[in-house]
Amino acid sequence: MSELPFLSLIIWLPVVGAVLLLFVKGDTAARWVGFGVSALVLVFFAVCFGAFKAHMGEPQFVERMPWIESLGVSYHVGADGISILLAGITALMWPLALLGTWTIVSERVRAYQVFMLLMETTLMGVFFSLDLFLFFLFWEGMLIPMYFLIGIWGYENSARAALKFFLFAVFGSLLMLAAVITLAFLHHQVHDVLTFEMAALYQLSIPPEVQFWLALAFIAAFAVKVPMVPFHTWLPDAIVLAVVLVKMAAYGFIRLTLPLFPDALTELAPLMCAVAAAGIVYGALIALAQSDIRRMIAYSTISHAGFVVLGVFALNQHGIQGAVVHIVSLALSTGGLFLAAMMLVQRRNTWDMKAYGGLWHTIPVFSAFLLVFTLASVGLPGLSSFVGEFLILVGVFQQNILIAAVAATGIILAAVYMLRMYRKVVFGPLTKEENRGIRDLSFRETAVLACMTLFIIWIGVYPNPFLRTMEASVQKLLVQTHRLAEAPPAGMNAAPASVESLPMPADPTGPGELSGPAVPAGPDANSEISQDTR
Amino acid sequence: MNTALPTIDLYAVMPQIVLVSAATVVLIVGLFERFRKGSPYLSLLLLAVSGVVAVNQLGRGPVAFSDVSPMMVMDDFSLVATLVFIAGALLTVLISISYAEARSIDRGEYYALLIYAVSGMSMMAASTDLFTFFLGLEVLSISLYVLIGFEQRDAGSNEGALKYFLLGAFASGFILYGMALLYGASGSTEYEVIAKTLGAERSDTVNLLLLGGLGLLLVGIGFKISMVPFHAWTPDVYQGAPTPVAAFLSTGSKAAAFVVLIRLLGSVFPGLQMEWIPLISVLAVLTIAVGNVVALVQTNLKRLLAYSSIAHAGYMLLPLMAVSPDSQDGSASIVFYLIVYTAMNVGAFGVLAVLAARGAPCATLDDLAGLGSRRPLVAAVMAVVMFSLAGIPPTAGFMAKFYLFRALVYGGYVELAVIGLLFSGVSLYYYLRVVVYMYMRSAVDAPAEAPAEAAGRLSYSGMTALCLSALALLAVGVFPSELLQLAERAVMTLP
Repeated sequence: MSELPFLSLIIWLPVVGAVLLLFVKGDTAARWVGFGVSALVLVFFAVCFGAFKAHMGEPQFVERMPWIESLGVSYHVGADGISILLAGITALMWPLALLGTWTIVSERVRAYQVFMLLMETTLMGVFFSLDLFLFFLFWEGMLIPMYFLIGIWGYENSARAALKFFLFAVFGSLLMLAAVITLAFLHHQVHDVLTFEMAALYQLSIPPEVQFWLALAFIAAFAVKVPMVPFHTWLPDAIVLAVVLVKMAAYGFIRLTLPLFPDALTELAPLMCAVAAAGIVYGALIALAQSDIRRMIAYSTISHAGFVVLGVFALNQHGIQGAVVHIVSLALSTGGLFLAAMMLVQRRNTWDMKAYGGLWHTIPVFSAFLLVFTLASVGLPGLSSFVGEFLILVGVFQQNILIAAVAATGIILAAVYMLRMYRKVVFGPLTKEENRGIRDLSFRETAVLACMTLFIIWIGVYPNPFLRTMEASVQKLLVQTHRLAEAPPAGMNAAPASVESLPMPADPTGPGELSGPAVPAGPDANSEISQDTR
Repeated sequence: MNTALPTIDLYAVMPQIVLVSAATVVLIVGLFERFRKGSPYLSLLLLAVSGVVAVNQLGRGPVAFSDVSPMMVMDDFSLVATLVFIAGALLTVLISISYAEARSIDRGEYYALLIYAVSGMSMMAASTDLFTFFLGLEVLSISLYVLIGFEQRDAGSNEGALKYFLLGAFASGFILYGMALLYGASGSTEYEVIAKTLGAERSDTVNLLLLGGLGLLLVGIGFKISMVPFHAWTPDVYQGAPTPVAAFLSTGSKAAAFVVLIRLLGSVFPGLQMEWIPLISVLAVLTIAVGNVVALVQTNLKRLLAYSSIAHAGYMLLPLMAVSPDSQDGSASIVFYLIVYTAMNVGAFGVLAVLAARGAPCATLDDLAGLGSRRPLVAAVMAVVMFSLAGIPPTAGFMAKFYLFRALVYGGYVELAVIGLLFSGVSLYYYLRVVVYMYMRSAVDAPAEAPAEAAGRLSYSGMTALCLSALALLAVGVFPSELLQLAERAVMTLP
């Protein structure tokens, strides 16, 4: 449908860059190649995003070719509104992260760039895969670059953390692999066609008790990476990648667990919501007790990840849209917070909050940026996290008021621990002599953080373009989940206007659509996909 | 009375003939001192020639050796198996060259015996008669006894050889006794006749004989593939044997035994499925469990690889359950796994052999510390191999595992698949530990031996083998189609 295979370019360019890096000598050159390639990916993505038609719920830019025919696996990629947003934040964050860690990573620079680029490839692959097998390949293949990134460039105890993370992740994924094979097998039994196409597997009607186990297997894989309590223990050791993982795992929930196992969700969704809410409070409480900045950010991520999961399993338009926006904003706010903290630690070499204080006087530019990220994490209206958290809570309130109330306390706690951290680090008298001569941000660092701040404010003030991009896709998803029962809520003041203006289907089937595998979008979805591929 | 001699089709045994002649030529040429240095290269050439002969015969349909009693059949299955053996042997020769020189065991016999072993394996793969099976097995085993003990001055090598010989002799005894029982039951050593006996009405005595025969055969073959509880020799022998021989032992001889097992269980004994399926499934799970769990605590690399190879044998036993007359998925997945497994294990042992050839100590995990910065290329190969053994995409190991567990699920054994997958999760721990040591630890006592080691450039031949296997693993991991089709075609001709 388009001239260039944009998605393949976005997915595979980083690999080309990684191969190129093998022939590059010198750290600076390696940094430039890494940054250049990821910037190029961003450019391609921008072109792609410009051509994206938001009103279509179907995957666009579809590419499809046979790959492993004897297994029914094809190379099938495409982008819908949800995946394009998540891929977008990845494409944006990568050059920024590489630029931000320009001097922070000072050993084995070339290898660092290689693994970062390889990870970008696998992330993009996860977001764009329309074939379950392909999805799994990227999903599992991502572990290799991540393992090295945590193990080599992580902080103390990193080798152990890397191993711990890997083992956790793999046990989850192996269960998912068994479920993936079983799904394809069930499809083969019913239709006598070997395929891993997600669109085809969505249409499969699976007995509820089987669905339950398969859903559990998928949830295990995603819950480990989100990370949901109680599968979170690897995170504080391996915080470096937490934000990336939240993004991926939540995408897994949205793309696979919801549409594949609608019946199992009636049982599992309330449970997931409850666990997520517990995780929000648990993470926040532990974050409150940390004096180590890194660990505090890690536990705050656990808390925020709880919000994302909560939004997804609210199973309605607001919840899911909120979850996606929250993921994007998490990447910016938590990512920014962590990047800023790394810059500070590079100067002073300690993560202990007590070692700082009074920075406002010595490094005002840094302190200003840290303030933005802190407030964004707290969920101040006008900044990005507010939109996500608000939409999620609206979504959850429609399902279960108690859980929503519990979750809302997480926001209050977030304000407490975040502002406490900020007060200790930035305000107060300058007591430590070492902090006096500290350098403020360089131009490069300022540019990186400014760029992130810009997006944080943009999403906070005017989230409509983002919401509109995914609206149609989320609706289609909900139809696939057979659950388009929610009427458009009236009187949402802070929520975007576009939610109200969107053409909600007038609920033709009523609550009855829950029963049986009614597939309203089924044949249409298939035929449109096959048209795309032609 | 005219007793016509049976017509013999030499064409059917062409690869074996070429291999045996090749081995003999290498043996004779190796006798001349001045050509001694050339024998590995001659072996490479002749192995390649036999490979070409085998490729040439692919797809020509089954050809029986003799029309009266087939003895051996050259079908796609045995040809593909032979090609796998030859490829394994080629890689083994490549990693042997510098190792053998360093240990002064670079004699013509070494390479000749290697090729004899391949011919024996090829015979086993093609056999359709208990006699030829046993003949091949003994050719293979005797070559291996000598090869394991080839480092005459090394106590470990001798110990390994003696252990393998004693237990191997017992295993052969079990197999022979089993064959006798089968002959007693069916009156023939031909697979086809035995299968017919199974298909017909049979008395209790015959049934007992058949069961006993199968059981004894399984004991013997179980020894070769190091199936629990017949696995105890594996770590000692791998540790003692010259490293390239251990590579060969863990791939070739195991693959040959698996090929026989596929033929026996898939086409001869489906009639006894009710009896052997529970047995094999329990033993397979035990093998996986023991291999993976014991490997967790190993610090000696060869022992670690030995337990890992036990675990992999367990995985490969699983799809045997899914082998049935109407679905060859299980056999195809084993064949594919064997191909990938050969590349992985030769790669892993190859790294040790190539390093050892330069005098670098590489017995324990500690010796690998900091390898990532000392020898980036070797470490990268080892990392690829480890990820592949662990079954992480985009390596071939993942595809192999996927294909294998898929066959299992399609055969209706979801529980076994889940057990196998979970244990393969356990295995990650020890594979990754190798990677941790290479990349995330610096050598503790590096200064002591670093200069000497850094001075030596690694041998080209060894590095060629290593890079070839690593690249093959990555290539098959991304584009497995061709190889999958080959594996599927191989098992198509099985009855």
